[in-house]
Amino acid sequence: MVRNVLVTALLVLAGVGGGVWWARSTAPPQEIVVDVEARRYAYEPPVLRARQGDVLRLRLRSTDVVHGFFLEGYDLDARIVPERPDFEVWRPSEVQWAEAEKRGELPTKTESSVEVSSLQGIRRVREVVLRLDRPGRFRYRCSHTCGFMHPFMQGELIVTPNYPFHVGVGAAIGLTLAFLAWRPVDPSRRRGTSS
Amino acid sequence: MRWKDGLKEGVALATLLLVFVGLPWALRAYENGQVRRLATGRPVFTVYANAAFGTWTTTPLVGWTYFWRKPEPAHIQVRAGQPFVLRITAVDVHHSFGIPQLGIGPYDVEPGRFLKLELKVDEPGLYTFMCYTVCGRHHEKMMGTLEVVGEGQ
Amino acid sequence: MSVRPDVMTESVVDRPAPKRPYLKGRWMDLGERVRPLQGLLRWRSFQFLAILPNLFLFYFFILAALWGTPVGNRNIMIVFVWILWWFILITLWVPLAGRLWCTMCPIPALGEWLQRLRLVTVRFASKAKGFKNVLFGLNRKWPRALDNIWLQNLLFLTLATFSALLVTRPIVSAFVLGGMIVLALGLALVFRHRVFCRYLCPVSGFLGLYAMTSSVALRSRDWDVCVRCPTKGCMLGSENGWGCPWMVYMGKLDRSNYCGLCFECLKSCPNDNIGLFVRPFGVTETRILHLDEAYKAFIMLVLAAVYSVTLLGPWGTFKDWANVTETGDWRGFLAYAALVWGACLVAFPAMYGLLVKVSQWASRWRGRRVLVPASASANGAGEPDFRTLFLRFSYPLVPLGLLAWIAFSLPLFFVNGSYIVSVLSDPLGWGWDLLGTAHVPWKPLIPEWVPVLQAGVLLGGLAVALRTGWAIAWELWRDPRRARWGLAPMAGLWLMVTVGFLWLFTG
Repeated sequence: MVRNVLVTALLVLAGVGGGVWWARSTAPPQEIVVDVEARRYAYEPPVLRARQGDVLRLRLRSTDVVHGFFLEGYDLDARIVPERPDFEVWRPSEVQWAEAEKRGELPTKTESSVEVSSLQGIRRVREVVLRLDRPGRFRYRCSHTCGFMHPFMQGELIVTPNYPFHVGVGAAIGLTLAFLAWRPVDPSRRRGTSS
Repeated sequence: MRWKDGLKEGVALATLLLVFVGLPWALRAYENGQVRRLATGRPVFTVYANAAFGTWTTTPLVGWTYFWRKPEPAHIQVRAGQPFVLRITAVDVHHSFGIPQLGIGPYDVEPGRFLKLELKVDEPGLYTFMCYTVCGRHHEKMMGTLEVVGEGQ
Repeated sequence: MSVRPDVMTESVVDRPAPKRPYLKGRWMDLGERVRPLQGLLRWRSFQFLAILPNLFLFYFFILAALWGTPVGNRNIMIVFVWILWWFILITLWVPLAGRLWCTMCPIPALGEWLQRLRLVTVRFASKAKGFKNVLFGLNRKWPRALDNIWLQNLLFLTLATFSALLVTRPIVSAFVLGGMIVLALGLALVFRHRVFCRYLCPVSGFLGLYAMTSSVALRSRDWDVCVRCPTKGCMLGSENGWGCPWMVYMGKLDRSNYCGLCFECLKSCPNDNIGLFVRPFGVTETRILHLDEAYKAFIMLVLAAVYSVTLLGPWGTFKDWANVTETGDWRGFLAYAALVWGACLVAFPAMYGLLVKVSQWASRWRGRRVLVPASASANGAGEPDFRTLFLRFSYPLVPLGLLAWIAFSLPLFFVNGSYIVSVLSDPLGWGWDLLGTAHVPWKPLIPEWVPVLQAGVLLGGLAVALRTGWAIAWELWRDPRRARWGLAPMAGLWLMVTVGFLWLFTG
């Protein structure tokens, strides 16, 4: 029993370590410019890949109806109106669109670019700049009801090293190997085994 | 059946029947009360914005009618100088409501939410209300009419 | 193997140890521990009162779907059924309490009440007839050829093919749920007992499968008492309770698949011999006995992956295919349906069968010079045939699949849970504000941590599957080396499934 627990712990730890090693990256940071096109019910590109430390310049468009762009982990929300080169951005932890609209605090002029970290209130911009200091997988979702499948409209931003995935896979492999190395312990059954 | 059992069954059945009849009635009654409170004597028009056909319509577009009723474009008739209330909702995507000739709007109309406008038009005439946010293929033809009838007409 | 009952009450100590062949690990007789619970479950009004609020809610949801806004996330039908109910069902009720939903399910209630011509109490013809159940209707017997869950499997697959419509359009939900009520009512008038639940209900199908592994189980406390029992009230009914509407005989019950937890047998048993037991989650002792059940496990696992791709994935093409009534892309929908059905019924079972074959070869090859111990061959262990292996190794897919479903359901609640708050105030999307929360904005709850939670749940599922598989391999071969070699291909499959879900949820 003790042996089984030890073997499991060791192998899972080894798997976690392997996962961390696998996930690491040493490439220098870069600047990525992406045009994201929203449509019912997906974003194009559906997956954005980047590395920690990269700078992401996002331009958002809609090809059909009003969509949103709620990015987890980076406290960013946007409202994309079709047939416009600009879009409104704000930090959902500070401002709510519906309330700001009710108070008449919507922006009137368009700026060329804004950094999310220095964002205050609602701004209308042509480009939003994100410094990707937080690694992991973050989904961007539609935040303005855009039809039946609206709750399922989403894309993903993967900022490596993406530990949950790599460590998860490492731990899963370790766990599987550990169980294959298990020995039977039930005393009532031990006699039955042949030598 | 023992009388006690009979009593239990009776109470259970009565509860069932009460709720089955009472619930729809209560829903309707509460809704009518809400509308009456909003109206305070004025006529109330409910307008549904629909992107699939590109219409503003007064045909109720609710769960069971939405999928197989072709909505007729709204035609609202009021008398000049008489206050009235518009309740505007969207059944699919984001729309914006406005009447350019009267300088009303545009106001955002969110799916499943109600926009309430209290209006009064003194000048008789035929006004067009339209959608200000691109809402799909039929956005351009999305128009309804507000007919304001003068005293003598 | 000695049996270790956890609870020894005085009455049990006086007599020889009760015969409980289903009981091998740590089990607790909840009814013995918590007497008021036993009293509650034996109370005749209990099930009626459990169903009643659900029936009203159900009725309300259907009215909301007919009269309310067609916008899914503003209609209580979609938000309460597919976000709240589904989440609670799959993350709490199923793992912790198995078929507890069936206790309070309103769908077959109308049919059952009509069959019984009673809502609460018991009806019986005469004592001379031995308390036999008198049921209203044609009282036909369900055809033997359909005495399996294939119909459930097919119905569930059919519904699953249209799931993108079902979970986004209130009216479709209303028609499906209402249709189930009508079907259950019709069948109740033709056949005896709850044939709809037992053989057709798509929800019942997966509840039964996952109840196998859940923590709560209703069992006879002592099979010997059942053997000696002259009245068999649990089957035939008695003054205090109806005969089992699920057509289960408690005196032989050792699996939870088809026990709907209606607790009638607790009431009808003349010996107080039925107990509600609690056991650890992911029991290893139960087993899948038939091919239809194995296929249910395959279907559920594959569907968790399919939904993760179509509903939670970033790819628009699959959404367009599944969302066919809006896009009109029937060719794409056919391709999607063919993919789903093919993966569930052909591809995954074929891959699984191949790995079972590899497992058989590997264990045989590893054991070519090993003498089969006498005790093992006496038990029939040592050289299991393909069919046995195929069925036995399908059980670990049950905990694996359940935890994959839980991982799938986490974002539904964490991301869209705020709709519950706003819909509470405006259930029909009519512009009401009952509780002042109608305008609470949509705000996901810790969405960036959901992948971490999902990874943890998936790893937990893999651990339970491996533990279960290990116990099964050991029981099959009774030799650690052969068991290890036999287990390896199956463990490889579970690892592959887990890595696949990890990729979908976190990669």
